[in-house]
Amino acid sequence: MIDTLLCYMAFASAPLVYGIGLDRATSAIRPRGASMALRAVKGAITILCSVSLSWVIVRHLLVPASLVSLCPLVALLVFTTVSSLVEVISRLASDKRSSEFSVSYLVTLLALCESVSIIDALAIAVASMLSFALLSPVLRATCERGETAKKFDGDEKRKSFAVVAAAVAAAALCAWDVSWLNGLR
Amino acid sequence: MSFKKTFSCAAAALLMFVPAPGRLAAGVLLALEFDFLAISMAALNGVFSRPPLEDLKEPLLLALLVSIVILLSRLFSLFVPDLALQLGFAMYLPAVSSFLTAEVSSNAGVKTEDAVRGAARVCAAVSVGAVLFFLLRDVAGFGTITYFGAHGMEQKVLFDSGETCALTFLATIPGALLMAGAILSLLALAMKKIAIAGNSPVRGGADD
Repeated sequence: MIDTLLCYMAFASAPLVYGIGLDRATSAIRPRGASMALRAVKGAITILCSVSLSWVIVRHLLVPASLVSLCPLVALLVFTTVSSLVEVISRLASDKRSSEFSVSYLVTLLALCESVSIIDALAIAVASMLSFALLSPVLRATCERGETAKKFDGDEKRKSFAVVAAAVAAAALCAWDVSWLNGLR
Repeated sequence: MSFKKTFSCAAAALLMFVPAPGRLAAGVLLALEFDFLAISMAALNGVFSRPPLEDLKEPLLLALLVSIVILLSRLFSLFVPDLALQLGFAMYLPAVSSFLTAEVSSNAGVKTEDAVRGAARVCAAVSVGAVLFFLLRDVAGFGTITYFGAHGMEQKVLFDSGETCALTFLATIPGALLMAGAILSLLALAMKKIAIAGNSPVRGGADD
């Protein structure tokens, strides 16, 4: 369990290795605290519910019928239903509207595609969310530092800098994979 | 298209291709997939905007896109199984990318023919960019050019990649990210210079 969490949180980080939410993590848009917290809680609930439900459907319906290749479509249908339900409940509770699709759906799909048990799937989903939550503040802080030093005169330079910072973070996490240093003698 | 929108589209398209293996053949497959998805979306956006489907437009389009990706991944598994296996999860990134969502929102109220024509132009630009990006990674990273042959993916070795050891880094994901960052910086700089030149009062200086 701890191996799975560490692997998908750091070494096979969802944004850096699978590209899930990389565009969002390097985005110049800075969400405000309350809306970001609401979005994160809603996203986490939606992902965990969707992963559990989809895993059960895939295991007990698609696998016996040899239709595993339909897993992404089933995941989408379950995800859309759960997401709508969570949106309705959150609007009743807080009257704030926020929805997020691509990152949450891709995390759900990753958890379903790379797991061998439902616990494993949930661990991968949690680790992927944590990897996104770990990377975003690092990239934002790096960009804020550049802005303080007045290095950027537009969102475009900020975005380019964030992508390069993500490359440095990815290189640091993949440093143990020294296969690309084989040629150095 | 404004400078900001062009830049954000280019960034979204580049970042979508970063996790894929750095092979030209993989780039060609992803570009084909992207073209198919974008043109299908532009063509069906108008159909789904009519009553009684308009309320279900977004989930229907997403379900359609994911279905297309499933179909394409089965076809790729049939014809180029090794490459389909390598691509794996990267095939689902174009389907849910912010690039396609932005494209659809910009097509609201546009005629289907015009939307398809606009999507074809965007697809041509993205495809050329993707092929160049993957060609650079293939040649610099592996010292090869990959293509589709009678036995699936085949490669022509140009030089021993050990001789250009430092460039092997470009074949990795951090290398691709670094390259994407460099391309975006150059693009921002070039577009800014073009904008300055366009606004310059001494355009066509011969008049003075």
